[in-house]
Amino acid sequence: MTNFLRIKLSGAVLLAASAVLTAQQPAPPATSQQPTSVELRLTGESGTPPRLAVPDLLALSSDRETQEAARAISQVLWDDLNFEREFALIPRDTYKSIPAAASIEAVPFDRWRELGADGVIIGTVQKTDAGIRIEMRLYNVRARQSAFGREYTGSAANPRIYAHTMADELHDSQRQMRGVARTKLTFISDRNKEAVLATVEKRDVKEVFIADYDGANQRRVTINRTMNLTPSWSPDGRSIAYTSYRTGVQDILISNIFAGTMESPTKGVGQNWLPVFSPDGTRIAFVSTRDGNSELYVMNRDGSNIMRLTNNPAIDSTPTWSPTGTQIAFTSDRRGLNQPQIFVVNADGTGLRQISFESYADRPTWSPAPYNEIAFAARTGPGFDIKILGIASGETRQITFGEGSNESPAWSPNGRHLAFMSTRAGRSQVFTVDRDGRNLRQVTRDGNNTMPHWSQ
Amino acid sequence: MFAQKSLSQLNSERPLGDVYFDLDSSTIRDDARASLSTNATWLKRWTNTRINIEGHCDERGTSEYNLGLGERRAASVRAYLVELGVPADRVVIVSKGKESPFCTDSNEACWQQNRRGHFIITAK
Repeated sequence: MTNFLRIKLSGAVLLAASAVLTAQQPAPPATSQQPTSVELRLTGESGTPPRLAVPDLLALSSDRETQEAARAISQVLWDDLNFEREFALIPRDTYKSIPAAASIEAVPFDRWRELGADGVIIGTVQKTDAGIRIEMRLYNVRARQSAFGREYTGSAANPRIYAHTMADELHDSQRQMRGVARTKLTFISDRNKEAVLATVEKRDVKEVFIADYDGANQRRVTINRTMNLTPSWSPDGRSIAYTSYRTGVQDILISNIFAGTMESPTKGVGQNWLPVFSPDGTRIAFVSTRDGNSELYVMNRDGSNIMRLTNNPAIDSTPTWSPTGTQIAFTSDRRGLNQPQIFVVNADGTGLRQISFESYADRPTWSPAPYNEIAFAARTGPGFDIKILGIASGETRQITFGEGSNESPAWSPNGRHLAFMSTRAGRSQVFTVDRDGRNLRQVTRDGNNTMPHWSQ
Repeated sequence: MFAQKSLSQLNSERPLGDVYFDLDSSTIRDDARASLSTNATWLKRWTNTRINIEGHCDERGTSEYNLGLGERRAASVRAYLVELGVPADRVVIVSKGKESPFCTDSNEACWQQNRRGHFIITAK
């Protein structure tokens, strides 16, 4: 994976594909070496999260690119670690006065101790013939020992990826948890403000976009100049299934974002929308009117073996898979016309049961294990708020409270965060929030951005 | 005259009136029955025409459910036209949910504009 920027491009997908590949280097950078020192688990005092400082990395080359990478990597790493709340990150401007380490070995531990840091991440960035080399170590300030270290080499084009990789590996090693620093969001945006005068009608243009989880590297995936909705990642992060009006009526498309190819599994039979990949990526649940009205179906990824799951004159819509792929939660107004509620059904169509009892509930999203919860949008007043229902407990809690309207929740792959759409900033924008309602962050700002989905 | 018009010209003259719905409803209202009766007469006169009916919703439903509600609205418009003698195979229905609103303010006048069955002539 040394050449993740060397890409083969052809034809109409050139723009989108190059954008995606630049932004979406999926594997860790070229080399990842552990230092010789013993890895120790960092602890805070008396059960509190360890207090961590992440000063600027030391640039070992004087060129501007290296200097900027040194600063960017430390800032992004600070943000990534802060996002998961496993460490108490000490604000970076409080240690500007602490002199930079003379080398990765010569750390002024006393000064970091005075600041109250339990750990400090010291690192270096060096320009190489092929790109850059980054070395980072987490030091235990009290023990004056390296607790964790990594070395990365690779392209200098997107230094953020080194910070993201370090954050994920550090969370894994130090806290035995899966971070989301290298995950992506997909969403719908009208930011290009295009409206197409087609043969008979002006059409609104909405395209599928992707971004890093933190909103960096926002890129357009589709370029079909029509309306595209409800994007959903494949579990391997290489494809996005979505609803497209490319042919005039809603149908399902899959964009393979690395290959730059597209698939049409439903092949224009009936109207098909809201596709979601099964957890193993082999099947897609979706909504279709092929038999007369909105029903739920499951098909193989290539469109074969279509199975109908529901049979009811009501609207059945918005499927989401359980983490094991054995059940599907969805929205239906079968118990009250135009009063949608969340139901669960086995993936073979048996065992239907209602699980929400709101005035109006939609867009269920099933959490990853171990949480076993379903987040959804509930009508709480003039607009919607995000609620989370524990499937075993039957208890519901609310995590947004009437600031704008809040819709379309989507879990992060570690179940600790949700992405959702909110109008609290005026227009429709994508936000992320933690499962307890804290740590709200605005991810998009340009145009209207809706219907987020978080990569695995 | 009719033969010389392009589809865009024809659509810009709006020979087929749109119909409107109540909140969270796909029931054909009395005022819509009159419009649909006029539309059916036109469609039965110009027998080579084909149309799309787009179902639209206001912002007070969720995006995802509204894709279903828009479909249901378009389907109920089509069903009413078929009752009036318009062949079903000349009518394609599309749901735009709340994704392509006619009006973007947050008030009832605007919402009413967006709860709509919208007619587009696609062939003549």
